[in-house]
Amino acid sequence: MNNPIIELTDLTKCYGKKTAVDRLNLKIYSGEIFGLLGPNGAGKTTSILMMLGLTEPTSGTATICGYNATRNPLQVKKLVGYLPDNVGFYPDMTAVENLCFIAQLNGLAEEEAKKSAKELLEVVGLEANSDSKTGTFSRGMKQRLGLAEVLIKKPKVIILDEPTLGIDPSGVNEFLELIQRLSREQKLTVLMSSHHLHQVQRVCDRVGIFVDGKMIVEGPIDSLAQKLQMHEGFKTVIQLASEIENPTVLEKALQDIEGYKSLSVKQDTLHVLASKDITAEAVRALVYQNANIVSVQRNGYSLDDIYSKYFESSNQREVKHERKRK
Amino acid sequence: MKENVNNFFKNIFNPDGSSTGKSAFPPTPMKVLIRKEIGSHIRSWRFIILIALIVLTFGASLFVSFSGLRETINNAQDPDSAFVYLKLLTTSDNSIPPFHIFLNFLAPLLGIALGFDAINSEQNGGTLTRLVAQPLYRDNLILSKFFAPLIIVSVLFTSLCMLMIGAGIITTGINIEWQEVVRISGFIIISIIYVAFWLSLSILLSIVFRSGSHLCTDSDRNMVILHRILSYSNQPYHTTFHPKSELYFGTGIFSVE
Repeated sequence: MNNPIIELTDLTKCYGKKTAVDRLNLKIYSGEIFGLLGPNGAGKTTSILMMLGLTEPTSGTATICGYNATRNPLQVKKLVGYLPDNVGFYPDMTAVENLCFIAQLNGLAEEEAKKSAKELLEVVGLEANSDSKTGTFSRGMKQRLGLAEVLIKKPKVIILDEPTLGIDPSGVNEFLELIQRLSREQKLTVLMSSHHLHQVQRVCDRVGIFVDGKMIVEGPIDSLAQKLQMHEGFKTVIQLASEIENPTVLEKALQDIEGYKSLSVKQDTLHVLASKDITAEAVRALVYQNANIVSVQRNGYSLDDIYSKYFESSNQREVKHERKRK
Repeated sequence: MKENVNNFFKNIFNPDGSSTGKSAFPPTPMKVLIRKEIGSHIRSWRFIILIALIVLTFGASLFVSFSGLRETINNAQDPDSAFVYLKLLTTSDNSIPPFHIFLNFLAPLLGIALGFDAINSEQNGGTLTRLVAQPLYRDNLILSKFFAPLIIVSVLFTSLCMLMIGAGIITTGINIEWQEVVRISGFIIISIIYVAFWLSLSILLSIVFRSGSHLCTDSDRNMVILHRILSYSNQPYHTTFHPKSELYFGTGIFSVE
């Protein structure tokens, strides 16, 4: 675990005056599933391209499996499987032919390539379509075929760029489970970029939130929530049976509790913010006020909160920038 | 001899030998790329249409030159009248141009049609990123886009000329002269180089421009302009598309006094 398989040091990429990736430092260890999260245009794809040696970084280095991606792209490409975001296949070739072509480019002999192509199509669940042309494939099927293609070169690392884009929810679940299973079985390191925290959080060991070319936070999802809690305080979400008629009364009742900070009311839900965990006291106080509580959610930071917190802060920065320009 | 020429070309473009045979050694990326390119070209509709066009012109001009062959050979004033097979390729009764002149304007068409979407179709189809993520050099990718159509075109031209010679031998029974073999081979090689020029130009444009339709109009215009410049350098060769002929005034791109 001490030897990172992907190591980025001060990786920077500028397009003219715009800095797409700003001094990115990242270490990913063998066997990990890492989620690179961020809104569109955050520089996720650029970072991935630099890791593969497909674009040259303005400064900094990307080391994959011990090879410098800029100096030794061929070695890196032998060990890394990359699934681009809008993956396409030659429409007039069958699934097996498409896979064989890529396998042969990676040095497999024809017979061997055919055999492993058939095996991998079974793994990704496309064995029934192995001899149909890829022009007829749906988006989800193409993604699966893309995964098979990534695996056919027997990589150590797989990099998936927006793998869940354009697939329906049940397809997303299946696809992510497949990735997780393969990663566990074959001890693959997976780097996944996405802007869907919800989808990715279930399979990732660690995530990094990447906004405006900068890595804002990095760590397991739980620790992200904790960090947010330290920063913002504890949040309790209490839902009442009916719409709240007089929020001021409730607020007064809550104000006496030690550590209480603020209350926000949205129709029938109360969001209580405090410097420490006051869930029990708050519920008691509300019950004395004859409030009909139907549900209480302690530690109410959801993924949405994490997401909007980090992404909003970047949006605000953008707004400020724009104002300055004006 | 023709086969030697053919093999010679194949070996230049494909140094590892045969392109279809199974080998125990893993294939090199270049070989795999060229094989795939040739395969997808041959199966494409575009290529079928092009080959039909060329075979039709070839058939028509051969028919015309066969029908006038007797007079051509018996023409005592022509010092080259002994070269039956050269006459087959170059004579015509003026109803349609002879084959070598047809080839002159079919070659740019062939080169451009086979290369104009070489790189940008991969880019638009999303296959380019996938391909460059494989362990191969980028120039291998571009060179395979160049050599694959060129191999097809060389095979096509060589076999057409061999068909012509075969038809001539069967109908006339006259032996082919050594000099004719050299001259016809020379013609084939020069035609292939001519196609290669247009092919490389269209591949260059396909890298520069992203959209195929953009490129088509652009390279058409370029084709006319460049064709025009070239036609100055070998005017006698271009009898039909002579700069001062009416066809060229019609385009209005260059006006010549």
